[in-house]
Amino acid sequence: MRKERHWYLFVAPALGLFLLFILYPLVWNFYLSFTKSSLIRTTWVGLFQYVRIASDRTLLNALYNTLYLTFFNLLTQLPLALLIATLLNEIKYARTPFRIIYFLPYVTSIVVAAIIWTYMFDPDEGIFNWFLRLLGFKGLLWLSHPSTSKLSVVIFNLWHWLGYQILIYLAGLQTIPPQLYEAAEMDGANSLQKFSKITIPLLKPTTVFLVITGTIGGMQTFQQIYMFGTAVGNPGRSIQTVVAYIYESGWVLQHFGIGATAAVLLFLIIMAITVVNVKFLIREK
Amino acid sequence: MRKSILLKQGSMGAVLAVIGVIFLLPFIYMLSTSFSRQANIALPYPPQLIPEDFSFFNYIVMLKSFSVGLYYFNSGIVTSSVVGGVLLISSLAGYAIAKGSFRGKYFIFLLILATMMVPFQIIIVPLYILMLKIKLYDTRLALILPVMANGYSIFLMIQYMKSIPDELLDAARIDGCNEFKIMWQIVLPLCKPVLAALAVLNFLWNWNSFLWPLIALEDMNKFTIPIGIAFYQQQFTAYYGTMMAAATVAIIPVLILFVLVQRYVVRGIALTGLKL
Amino acid sequence: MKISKQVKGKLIIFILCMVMLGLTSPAFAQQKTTVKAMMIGFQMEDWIDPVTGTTFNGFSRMVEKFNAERPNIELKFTSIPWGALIGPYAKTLSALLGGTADVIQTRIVYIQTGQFEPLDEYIEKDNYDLGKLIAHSAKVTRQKVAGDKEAHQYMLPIYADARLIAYDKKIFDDYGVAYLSHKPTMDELREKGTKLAGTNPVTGEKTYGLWFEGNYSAWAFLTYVRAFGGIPILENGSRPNFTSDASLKALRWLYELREKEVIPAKCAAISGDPPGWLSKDNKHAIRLDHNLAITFLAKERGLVERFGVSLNVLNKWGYAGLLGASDVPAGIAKLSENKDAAWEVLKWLLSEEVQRFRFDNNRVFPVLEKEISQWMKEDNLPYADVIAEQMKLGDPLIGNYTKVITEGRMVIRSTISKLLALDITPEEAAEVIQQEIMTKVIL
Repeated sequence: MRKERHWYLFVAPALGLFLLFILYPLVWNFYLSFTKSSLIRTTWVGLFQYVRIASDRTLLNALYNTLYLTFFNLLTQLPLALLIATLLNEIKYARTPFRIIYFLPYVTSIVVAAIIWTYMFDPDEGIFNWFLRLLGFKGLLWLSHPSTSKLSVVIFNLWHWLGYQILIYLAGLQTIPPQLYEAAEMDGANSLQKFSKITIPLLKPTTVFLVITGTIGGMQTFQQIYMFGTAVGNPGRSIQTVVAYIYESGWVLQHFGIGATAAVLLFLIIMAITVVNVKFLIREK
Repeated sequence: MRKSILLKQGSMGAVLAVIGVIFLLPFIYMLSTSFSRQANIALPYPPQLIPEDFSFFNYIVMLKSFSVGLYYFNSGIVTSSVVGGVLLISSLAGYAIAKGSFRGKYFIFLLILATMMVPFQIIIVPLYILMLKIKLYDTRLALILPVMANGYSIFLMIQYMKSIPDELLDAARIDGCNEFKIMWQIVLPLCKPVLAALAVLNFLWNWNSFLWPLIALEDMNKFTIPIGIAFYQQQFTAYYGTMMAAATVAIIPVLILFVLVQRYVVRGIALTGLKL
Repeated sequence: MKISKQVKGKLIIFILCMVMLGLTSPAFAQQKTTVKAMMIGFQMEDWIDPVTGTTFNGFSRMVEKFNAERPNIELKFTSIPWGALIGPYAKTLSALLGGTADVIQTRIVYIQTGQFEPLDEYIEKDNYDLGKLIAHSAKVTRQKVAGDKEAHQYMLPIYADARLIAYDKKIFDDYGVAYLSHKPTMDELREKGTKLAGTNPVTGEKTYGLWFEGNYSAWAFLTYVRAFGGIPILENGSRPNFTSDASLKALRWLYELREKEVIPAKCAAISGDPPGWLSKDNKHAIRLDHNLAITFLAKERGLVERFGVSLNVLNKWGYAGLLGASDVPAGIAKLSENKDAAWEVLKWLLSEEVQRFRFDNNRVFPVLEKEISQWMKEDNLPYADVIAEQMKLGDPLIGNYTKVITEGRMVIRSTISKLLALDITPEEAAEVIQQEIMTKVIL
């Protein structure tokens, strides 16, 4: 083809940036994982770091926290989002104002939101405990105790992400042809049956999409952890995620080799999740 | 029958309203605390909707030492450059892959898909060294360039452009238009919805970006809003009222902007959910 | 074709932006010598105290003055705040790796990277008197790095710091407990703290005995290990020793007081002061490991009569608390091309003018020994004697700031946080600290 060459000009900017700012750093990170490095001094240690992190209890803890948070995020967010989206889809007034309100948290910077929520979670003067005490409970320690800190983060994430999921579900709901419901009504189906026999199955692709994006996003949780419990995820590392661990290893403890090794691990996990999910998705289609 | 519909609609509205209030609670709490002068010693307890000691004092304190205007300016420059760059680069690459034919096209497509799987957090350290080496450390370009080629945006662009009929392009080709002109004058105008969606999404992703700017910037005069407020928080963390005033000015303008353009945001987000 | 115009417009704006950015980034050709200083904890902007409303001047004014007075030097001054943001680390690294700064303030442990210029020649040339700096402080920054035959003065301290114990006399009065002694022991703190926790007999409010900053617990913890007679680091600071009896005693002390609610549960993950501290509504009797800002705050808020201070807990070697003066000193980067000008800047940072400015406007104590008491007296600041005494008592063992302590403190923090949550026993905590420092810090 005579004109073939100029197509390369079209993809050149994207390719150039990818090579320089993603691929090259990725390879470099891979190299770093075989070293002991403070960035000032770097020595080759082969597979040492891989052996090391395999027995690192802190990393295992971070991995557990990350999976825990991701799992409970999805478990709380998706059903609630679907429920609210269904209500929004059926309500005949004030739909836009509601939609705006639910979406506001997603637009809010996590850093700023985390500052506000830290105050709201305060065990002594926070608004949550004030409310609990109003109802006659003792109040919780929220972010100040390992037994409730994860719960606090799950609640925070629920608030921050729900609007996004509601929107996606709403868009999905609007693709379902109303005739389906009408036909079901003629067959005498009640609301619950319609919901479980029509809505949920037809929204499966949407749910799968949300699970994939939610899992990948969840694996990369960092900002709120950093703001709530510093890079170690206090209290007592109870909310430290893998990305926080990578951050701590490098920028705090100056062991960039360990950080890089954990980063490779995270990369592999995310790749595995994506591949599994995509396969699942393709089979569905 | 009519009565029951009314009842149903009414109760749905009530449920949604209650949830809405819960969603708004942090914003209300932020605003209310920011007007309490005593909140600089301890949080008002029990919480008050309108503080007894209502004053603008916290805003005066905050504006003196928190360069919020500068941070908005920086965030604005960085984010608009990123959005502009993403739109241009995704259009070019998307068009070539959707409509062009050249050797290695499939490989490049796979490469773009693969980049979507690389979490940005894991390449931050090498990226930091790279920026030091190419002398871009502590510049705005360091924040802009790495996110300008975005796999997801290109992917979305390809998917969308594929739906444009080839006949349109062939007609233009016969008229002797070159490919760039075809893309610019025929394809892009048809891509308005996806361009708007990408603009919105990339704005959201980059406006609140935190970890990379935290590491790549040193000069406070170049700080973006999230970094600016995180640093401010380090100095004024004990002064709840002043912190809440800073939080207010850091997010309220963005929220207002969102309300103004919410239609496009909603459409953009919805599009991503349906395209994959 | 409306859209294409819009896109074109955007594109043009975008390109303009890029060009503008491109123009502003590289340094312009200059006659002047440019010195870049990368510092920590300088308040650059003018600021208002959020409690009292007093206005203070920002350090940018001093930088402007410096530049106005020295036409041949252009000083570019950057400062990163203290705190959990590990900003300073990334910034130090970039300064050392990329030569992006000439004068660098950072943790003393970075001397051992070998990236700092020895200052001995400059000191000799100018006949610079290090004797005016507060006790020990310049000694600790005199070190040997790999390849050195003798120790060199690699860095200089530029401020002084110490930790005290502060307490609320009113709560002591309400409970009828005698005030803390001048030199409290661990036992005294335990006894009085326990008595002061509960329901205030006068006001009926709930009070806590002790406040402990769980997110920044490392220095305090080390102080207590030392107070129980422990040596937490061995062999020139290269090996941790946290399974000793003393360290267990310190951990048990914390655990027990936390269990009895003498230390509030909230302390497990907290930065800074308790709510209402240094106000009339205070409910926390004793605040451990308090920084020196209390002298300014108590005076400004008119609470000098109400709050008292004591020395940090003394150990059998006669020291108490961290040696703050040389924790985060400043030096000249080896890669710097303007070392002479950088030395001018370093001297300026130690000058009376700058030290006084920071004392008055930034609540930072001078590293100049004589001036500490003098300025406190001039400004009529409270607690001058205790502060002056505490300044000289800093523990040189902690003051070494070796890797075990500098980097191990994150391990200590997260473990103490867990201990204060009663999520781990003191015995386990000792094991975890020891083992994590061995595996995470030393390798």
